Amino acid sequence: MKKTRTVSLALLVAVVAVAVGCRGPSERNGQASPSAVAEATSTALAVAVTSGTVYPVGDAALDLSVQRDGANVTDAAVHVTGDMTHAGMVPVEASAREISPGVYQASDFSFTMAGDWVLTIEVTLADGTVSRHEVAVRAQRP
Amino acid sequence: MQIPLALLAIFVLVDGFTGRQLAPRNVATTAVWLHYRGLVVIAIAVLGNAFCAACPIMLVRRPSAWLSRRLGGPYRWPTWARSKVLVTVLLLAVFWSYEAFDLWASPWLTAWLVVAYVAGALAVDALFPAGTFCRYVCPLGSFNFAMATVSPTQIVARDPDVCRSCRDKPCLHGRVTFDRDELPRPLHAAGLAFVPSSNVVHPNGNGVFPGCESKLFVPTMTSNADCTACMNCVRACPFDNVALALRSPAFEASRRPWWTRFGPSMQVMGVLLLFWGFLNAAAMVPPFFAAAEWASAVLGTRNEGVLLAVAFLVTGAAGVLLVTIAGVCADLLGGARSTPWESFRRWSHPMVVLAFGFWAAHYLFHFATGATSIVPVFEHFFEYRGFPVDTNWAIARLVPFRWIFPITATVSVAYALVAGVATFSLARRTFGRRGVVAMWPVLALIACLVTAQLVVLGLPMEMRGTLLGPSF
Repeated sequence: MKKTRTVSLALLVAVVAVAVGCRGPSERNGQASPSAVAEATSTALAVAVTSGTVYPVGDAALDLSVQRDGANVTDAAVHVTGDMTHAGMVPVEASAREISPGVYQASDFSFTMAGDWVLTIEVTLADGTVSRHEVAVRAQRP
Repeated sequence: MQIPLALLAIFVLVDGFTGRQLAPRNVATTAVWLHYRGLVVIAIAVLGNAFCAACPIMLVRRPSAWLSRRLGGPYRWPTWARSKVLVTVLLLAVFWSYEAFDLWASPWLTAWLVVAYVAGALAVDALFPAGTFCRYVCPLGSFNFAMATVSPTQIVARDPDVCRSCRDKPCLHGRVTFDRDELPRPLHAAGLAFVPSSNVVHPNGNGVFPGCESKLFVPTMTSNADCTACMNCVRACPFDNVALALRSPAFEASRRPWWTRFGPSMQVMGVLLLFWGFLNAAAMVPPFFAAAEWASAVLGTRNEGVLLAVAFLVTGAAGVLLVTIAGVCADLLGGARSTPWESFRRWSHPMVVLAFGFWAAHYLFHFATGATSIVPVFEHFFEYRGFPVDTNWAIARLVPFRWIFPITATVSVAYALVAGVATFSLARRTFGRRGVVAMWPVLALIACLVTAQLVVLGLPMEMRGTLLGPSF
């Protein structure tokens, strides 16, 4: 019994060590509090949802502006993932296409439930650089 | 079961503190607010208080005992804190914090909640006798105790005559069975009953078997309240005379078992849980947000913490008043000249059955929407930390949205029917043939409450973190 407990404790310590030690430092920018984020920026890239912060439940078009140092960013691959703020909700994903220089649109983004959403916008630049940004929005019944 | 749950708690802490702070992708928020709550009500409905039995906090018993010896304990738990008043206040604090701080949306705060829980258990059990935290302090345990009164199982003595002839009461005090010469000396002082091997007719045979930390004596148990389902009594009984027996979910509510053992605080807590359970679900529908705006205008404050506190207190007070009014009417129809307080105490028991239906429906709403999300959440846990894992969110949803209302409505109605059966049985036991008349005010209240619950469940739900509208 004592041996079992010792082995279990060692196992727990190992899990903690692996879990904490293997965390990728590049992911740290994903930790911003969703409710506090209205527009996410990085030093190099500014990404904003220009179509507003409140959407009706159902399909919606999301307009995104992507700029670097005030200049429009073209030819980027933009992917939007929407998560609700409660556990258990399935994320919604959509790709955005460039509709004018620096402006991208995810035309078929589906807000499946009313409430708070966190949009994770992943921008892959032409040179392969990947940048992630979080924006909080709300879906509500008409 | 304690070891796997302790392992899960480690994942909760690690991901809560160091993982991505997005509730649906974090082990902390998913395991605690989705799976723990959903599985708790499922376990209570089909088995009993299984989560207290599997609680990993039990694993700090040895450290707390070690600390206790060094702190000069155990000290006596204050008499004033032995009712359910303290845990009711703590429950209110948890419910309020859950809404006010959006705990469901914050892995970080959820992890801190787990830390505070373990630290609290360690501190209380280090200063006071083992089991004090479970019995008098733990809000989750008290919630489980109250809801488990609806469980279809209960610890019973198989043959009461065996208990009558039992001298040492090992189910209560614990048992030591060794050859007398080999008995370790510290065990003499542990208060455990020594039962010679020759007297033991239990498959467990020799060893050290602790008794009930909640100080429940099996042959006198009439309720699941305070029973952590740890099965210590089953193992300690030298005569293999303790069993987990099946019973009706309406069994306890129709027999007023808490009247003498727990005092009125248990009944007040049960009724408050009913109405706070309703509020907890109603806080997700548009009429609640409209009511919050109205209350904000009337009270002249936009402070959501204040508005939530008012909502909980007003709802709780209204609930106690409604049950009292229905109880007084029922007693008058039954021919009893009871005080309002006596009426409340008599008719509060079926309300706990209804309360379980409300909480179960709400928790199953969340559980059914994404129970299988625990798989991609764990995949994400490792992917986030650089492991070559491709998270598959497609399997996250357990059932389609259109199934949610039928499931939750069925649960609510089923337990309303059980509450109705308990009311009928209670009325007949109390008033005899006049009980058929006396029960109707209480049945009417149950019907009104379950209808209100169905309306709430039928309305479109919103998962939002603010009471008074967008904050961005």
